Amino acid sequence: LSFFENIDTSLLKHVLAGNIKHDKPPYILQILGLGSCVAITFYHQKTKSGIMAHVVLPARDRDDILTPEFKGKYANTAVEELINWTKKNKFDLSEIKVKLVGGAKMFKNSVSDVLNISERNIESIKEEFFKYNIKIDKTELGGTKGRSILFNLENGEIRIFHAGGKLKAII
Amino acid sequence: VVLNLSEKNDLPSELIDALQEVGNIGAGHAANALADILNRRIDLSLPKFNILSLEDLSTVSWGNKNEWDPYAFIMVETKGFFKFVVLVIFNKETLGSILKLVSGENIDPTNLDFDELSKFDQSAITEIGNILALHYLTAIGDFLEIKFKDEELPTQPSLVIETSEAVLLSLAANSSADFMHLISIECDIFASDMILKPVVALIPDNNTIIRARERLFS
Repeated sequence: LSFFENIDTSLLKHVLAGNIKHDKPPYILQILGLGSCVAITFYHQKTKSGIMAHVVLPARDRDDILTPEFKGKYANTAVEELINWTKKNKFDLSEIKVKLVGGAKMFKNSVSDVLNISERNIESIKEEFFKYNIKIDKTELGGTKGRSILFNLENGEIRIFHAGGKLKAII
Repeated sequence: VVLNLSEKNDLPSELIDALQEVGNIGAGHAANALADILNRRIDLSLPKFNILSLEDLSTVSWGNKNEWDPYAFIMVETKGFFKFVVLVIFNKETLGSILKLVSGENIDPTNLDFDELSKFDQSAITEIGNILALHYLTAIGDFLEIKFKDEELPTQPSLVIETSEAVLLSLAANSSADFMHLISIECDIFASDMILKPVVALIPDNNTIIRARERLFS
């Protein structure tokens, strides 16, 4: 299965680094090249509504004014925004399927990895989930390889690819 | 860590000029070294410069046709007073040409499977990237009139084969800088009937930008 098999590429919507985007079918939310970043997806099956955040950094540690579309940048602002979306749409949190993808350690033994961002991103998100009592449905985390993902809003399925377009997993 | 994703913080223009000079010198050195290794006459195009900040990372393209196609990144980094990450980036086509040059085999880059590269291929790519990177570092040293001490120089180059966004964003997120500036130098190398299109990216950390500026202009 290649990256865009059975997919109409005109329906793809990119969720760039730090962004948060929601949509409905027939659209597909896409992230190309998740390294140490983590994607959080919320999906409401009954209404086929989905939202995806492209988290770059752990919790915000100083004031940094974020425009609404950049609320995905930090773990805490992203989760807060995902909760807001759930409330605004009057979805019951127990009906939301939550998935996490990403957080790869890209540079082995590098001084550029002293901050260990990938693991801290994952931990930070899990702490936020604990605060709001959010249960995780499925994950595809860690490892040393980057991932590109397609979040299908028809069924909430996420296709995960490695660089070059090889299918790694569907969750 | 506050990565700025939505606005551009410009580098001082005199520093950009200086880095361009570094690029010119580095490209020349690197080409000579490559000519020696590959035992071929090497010609160079004029280097092209670009300053990229984080917002540009998701749209940057260095010659791959598909945005999900990987690049080979060879990374070295210096420690100490002046901190630079130097990335040498090969697109698919260039990677194929390099493997062809070192192995003598006819390799079609369109059929190149990045997951199936042999240990030999990987070390050849890493070595050639490393040579390019080290020559650029020497050029930086010459220009700043510093000599990197042994313990400040990179030890093991790392090879990462990934999409550009995954690598560059991870690098930015892992640096403690507010802004990440990436100075890319594109310089085509003509070797026999082949054109290699490596990209060399210099990434100074924030303190290094300040220190280099002081060193050069005060």
